Amino acid sequence: MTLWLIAGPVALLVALWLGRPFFRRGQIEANEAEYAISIYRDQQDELQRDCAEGRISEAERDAAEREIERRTLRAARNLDTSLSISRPAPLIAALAALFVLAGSIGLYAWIGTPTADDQPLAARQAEMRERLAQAGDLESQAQILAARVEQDPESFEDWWMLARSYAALGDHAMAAGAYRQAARLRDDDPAVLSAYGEAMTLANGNKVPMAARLVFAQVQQKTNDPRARYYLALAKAQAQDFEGALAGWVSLLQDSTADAPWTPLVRRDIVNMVRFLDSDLLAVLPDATQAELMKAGQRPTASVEAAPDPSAEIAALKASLTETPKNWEASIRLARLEAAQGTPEAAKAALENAERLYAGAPFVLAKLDEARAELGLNVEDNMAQRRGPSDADVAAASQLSEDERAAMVRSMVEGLATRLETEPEDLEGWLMLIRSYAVLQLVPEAEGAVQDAKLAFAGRPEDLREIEREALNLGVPIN
Amino acid sequence: MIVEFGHFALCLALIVAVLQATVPLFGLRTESLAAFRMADSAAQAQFLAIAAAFGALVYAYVTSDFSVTNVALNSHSGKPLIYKVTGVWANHEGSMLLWVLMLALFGALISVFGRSIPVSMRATVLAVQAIIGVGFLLFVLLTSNPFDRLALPPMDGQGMNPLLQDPGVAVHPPMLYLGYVGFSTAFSFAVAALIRGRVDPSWARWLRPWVLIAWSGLTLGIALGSWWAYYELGWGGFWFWDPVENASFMPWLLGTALLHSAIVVEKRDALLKWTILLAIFTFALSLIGTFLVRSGILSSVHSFATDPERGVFILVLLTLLVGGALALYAWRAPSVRDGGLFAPISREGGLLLNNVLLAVAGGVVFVGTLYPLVLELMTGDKITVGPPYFNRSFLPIFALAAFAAAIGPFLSWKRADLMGVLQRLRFVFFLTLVITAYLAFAGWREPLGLAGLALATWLACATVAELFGRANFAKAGFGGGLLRLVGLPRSAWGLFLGHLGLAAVVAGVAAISVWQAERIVVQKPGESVVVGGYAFSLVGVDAARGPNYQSSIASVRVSRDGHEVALLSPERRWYPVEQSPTTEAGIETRWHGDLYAVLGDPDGAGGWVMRYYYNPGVVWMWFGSLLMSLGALISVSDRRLRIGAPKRSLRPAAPAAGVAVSLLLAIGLLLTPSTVRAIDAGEMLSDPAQEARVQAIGKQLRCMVCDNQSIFDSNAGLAHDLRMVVRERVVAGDSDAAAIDYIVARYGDYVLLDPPVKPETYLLWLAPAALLLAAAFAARRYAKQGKNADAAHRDLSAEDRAAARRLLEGDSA
Repeated sequence: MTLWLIAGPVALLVALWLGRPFFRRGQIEANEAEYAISIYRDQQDELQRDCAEGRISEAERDAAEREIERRTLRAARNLDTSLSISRPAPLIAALAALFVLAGSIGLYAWIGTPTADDQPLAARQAEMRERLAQAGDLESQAQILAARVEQDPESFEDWWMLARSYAALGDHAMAAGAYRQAARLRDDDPAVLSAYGEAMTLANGNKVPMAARLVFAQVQQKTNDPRARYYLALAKAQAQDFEGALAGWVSLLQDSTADAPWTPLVRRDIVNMVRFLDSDLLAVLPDATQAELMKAGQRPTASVEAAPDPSAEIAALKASLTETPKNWEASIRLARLEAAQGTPEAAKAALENAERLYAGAPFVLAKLDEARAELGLNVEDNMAQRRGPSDADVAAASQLSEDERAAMVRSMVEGLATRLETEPEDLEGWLMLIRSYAVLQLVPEAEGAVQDAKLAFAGRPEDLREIEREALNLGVPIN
Repeated sequence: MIVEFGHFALCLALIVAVLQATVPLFGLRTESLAAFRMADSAAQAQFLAIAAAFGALVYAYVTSDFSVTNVALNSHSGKPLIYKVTGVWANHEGSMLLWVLMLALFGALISVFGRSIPVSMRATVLAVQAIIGVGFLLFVLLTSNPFDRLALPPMDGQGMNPLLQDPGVAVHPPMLYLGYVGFSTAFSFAVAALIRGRVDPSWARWLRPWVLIAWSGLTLGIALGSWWAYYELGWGGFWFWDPVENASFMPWLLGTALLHSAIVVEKRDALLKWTILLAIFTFALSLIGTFLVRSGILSSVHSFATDPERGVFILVLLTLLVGGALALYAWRAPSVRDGGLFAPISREGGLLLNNVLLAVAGGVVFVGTLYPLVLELMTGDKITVGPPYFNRSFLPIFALAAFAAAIGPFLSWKRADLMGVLQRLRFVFFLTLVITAYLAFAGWREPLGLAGLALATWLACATVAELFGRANFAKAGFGGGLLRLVGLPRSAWGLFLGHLGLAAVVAGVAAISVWQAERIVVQKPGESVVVGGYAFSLVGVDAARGPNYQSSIASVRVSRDGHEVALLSPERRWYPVEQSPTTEAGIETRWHGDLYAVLGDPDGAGGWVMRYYYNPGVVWMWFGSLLMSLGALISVSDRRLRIGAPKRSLRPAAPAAGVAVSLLLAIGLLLTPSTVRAIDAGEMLSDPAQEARVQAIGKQLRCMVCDNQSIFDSNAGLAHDLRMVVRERVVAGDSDAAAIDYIVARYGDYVLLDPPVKPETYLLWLAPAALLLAAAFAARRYAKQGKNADAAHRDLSAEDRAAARRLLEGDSA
């Protein structure tokens, strides 16, 4: 719409500009003879100059002058000597203006794409980041926040969120930098400082650096922050003060409720430390479990548990896999146990399931193939199933003409679409289909494929995100 | 929105051009002043609309809007900004948009600065200009629309040929188009004169500034293209006589002729018909050049036949425009009166000789360029017409023209005293002899090269002598002479610079063609080799990284007689997006020539293939071209061309609408790239004598996928394969002739740069002589009319003279 708001007036302006001469009255234009004679006048001047400078003789000048005179006479007699005067002709003006308006707008409407907006890359990238961030993509969130703090470096909220995004992404060095800015803006708020110290520690490979120790100490002076206490104890352990570390953790545990989120971690560290110091676990951890006692290298009070029954582990793995299906290590473990149990069909099923989920991850696929080979399950079968153009197809394609190649591409895409109708559980296939439609500029088809794919993978958030990411990348509308 | 507005503006431009092409012609019948005036408004509106469209496309490139098909196919977000901008005209669609932009620019300039042209004439010229514009705007909108959109834009573009990511190529196309398209004005003036059926000397004066501007741009454009090939392709060559180069050179030759014949029309009212014809042909050759480059017919006749839409469109346009103009000429020319008789030996005669020689030279290039195409279309045979043919046929004709250019300015109008002129040139002749003898003594002894240098000296000395003659120091004294020099008309300075520049170019071309020294060697750091008297030693090779490429940079120390004279840094770049390499030659320019080094591939054993050249006279070529271009511009600024509007103009010129001449906006390009692959170290023969023979044979053979380059001047894979075949034959003990026969038997005559003499090529070989004969015959007939020049002079009566005087004094009734 904005386009017409600008194009319309521009067309009108041009129409008026072209019509204008027809409205003007009494315009006079000198006749052509005058133009010609003015040139002869110049020539005569030049002649006089040349003669004065001695470049030509007087005789030559006279001869040339005569010729100029002759031409002047001819021009005056032969050329149009009347003055032209313009008369207004509003009808012609109107017709010309109408032609400009109707012609330009009509022509553009015919060959143009008035609805297409500008799509500068930067804006598209920003928009895509926004949408991905809304869909829960941490990296995009971090990028957006990073851009935002660059604009306004005084916003605590943004720095804080940015730091948490980096931390969630595992980029602790960047997180530490952001936390530091956040701490600066919050007058060294202990909670922020302690997060800062933790990020520094994690960025340092879980070794508490000197700077972090100072930060934690500062925090502890103000509050009884459990994180600061934990890391200060860890710092002691890393500085060879094992007793001090143990004491720190034990006192932290005593001050914490049993269901505090850090309790398991602290207990684990206490157990490990006791085992290292070879001291008495029950003395520091009166409610130690059997497992913890075993781990600490101390004789449990009760007898050792029986060796775990594989069927129990199989059941446990199956349960965990129904909950979170995307766990290839668990799948391989399951396949191994099933194979050991003498049920290769089930083992195969477990691997295939994982394969479907990881269709886009070559590394995992390789691992799965490895496991399959190791367990003696049929690999060939599987390789053949991973469909795509064969080398022969590609070689043939390079021999074809433009039209034939286009037809071949179309038939391959159609084949893929038909296959996915009957076997929709193929993430890679769907992604390929969407990509193909996008490259062929078939927008409705691409959109349809996205919808179908989302339907096929409903309830699997990871895959849905993958599909949406691809669609956004290609510019295919997803809703 | 901005992109679509650009698209709309282009549609608007077409509609305005349609009006501009029709209404003024309709006004010609009805004598409607308003209809004429509308041509001015339309020309300006058309230019602004196309400029808006061009600006929109630039915007799309700069913001990497990949929803525009053209941007997605030809740009990449990782390119430096300058190449995003120049990328606009580095592809077919964008360069055609630049083409119409230039066309409209000339129309707008005529409407603004052409106030000295009577309005009816100006309107007719603009109408013809708009007819061309309608044709090409239709071409752009229907077959090559740069504003086509993609519904699903990719996340990045496909990049731009790295060879074109170079500042030289950024300016080359706009300059070239300034020339190409600028000659459309000559065409329009010629057709307008024919439509109106009245031509007089003033016509030539209106025409001349536009021809000068176009010629100046074309000269610079050709020089820039040649310069780019010289330093970017990295093979030390500057001109390959390939069809793309010839396509720009043919209009230049005829344009040069036109420049000179227009002087005769203006001064002497003679050569009118010939000048009109020349103007039509000059632009026709520009169109043929556009057709050759844009239709794809050059890369392969076959590919043209399978996707002919664009080529056929231009061909039809070309036929309509040129055919229409020639038909009009046939119909109207008889009514054009050719006045102003002159003797064969006179300034007019000299300029006519210039025209004859340049036209024949243009004809030779035309035949040589189109012969292989026509032959292939008619018989299916493929032959190559390479540099040897052009050197043999074109150079002598052009040398003759250059020789005569020294004498021409001394001749007086109408009838000259040849003996007197030769007397005046005695000293110049003597000086030329002395300088040539000195050059020969100094070691420049190759007869051909020496002849070239002698010719250049002759032309330069005569040109300087002519200027000094004008200053007349002897009579006027030193101060008076200087004053006279300053007071000379600008056109005299234009002549001086133009001819002096030509002399410099002749000297440069002769020097580099004959005395270029070249060595291809495998060098380890620390090793040294002597080329053309200079010792080139490789210091080392480092890796570096540019904005969108990786690069290896060698440093080469050049010394002479133990003194270091230069440190060269040749580079090989790798552009990952486009997956292709480029070479950047290391060049040190001295006044007498260039030291030139190219880095090749490593041999895997610590050595690198290095190509070293000493290229004498190169800088003279560029400098000479610059002088010529500048000379034309100075001529444009001549007082005579600026004024000349009737003093009695009754109406102040309408204020020129804000037509900003944004040359920076302009620009497009086309050069066919070749996949680069350097000479492998391993491929060279260890026996230097054999390798030298291989290189001598290879220079006669064409790389069949390149444009007229020999297999030793090309880095295509095929050239490499052919080099290997030659080496095999030489090692197998074949004589030179046997080795060439062996290759011709397998690849056909096409592989020979010099086509064989056989029935199919008789016409080709006869063409230069035939053209020269025909031109001489025509000129003789023309000159015969002038024999009784004086007899035709009838004196005016005293009455008539008085009337004429009154008219001249500005007292016309």
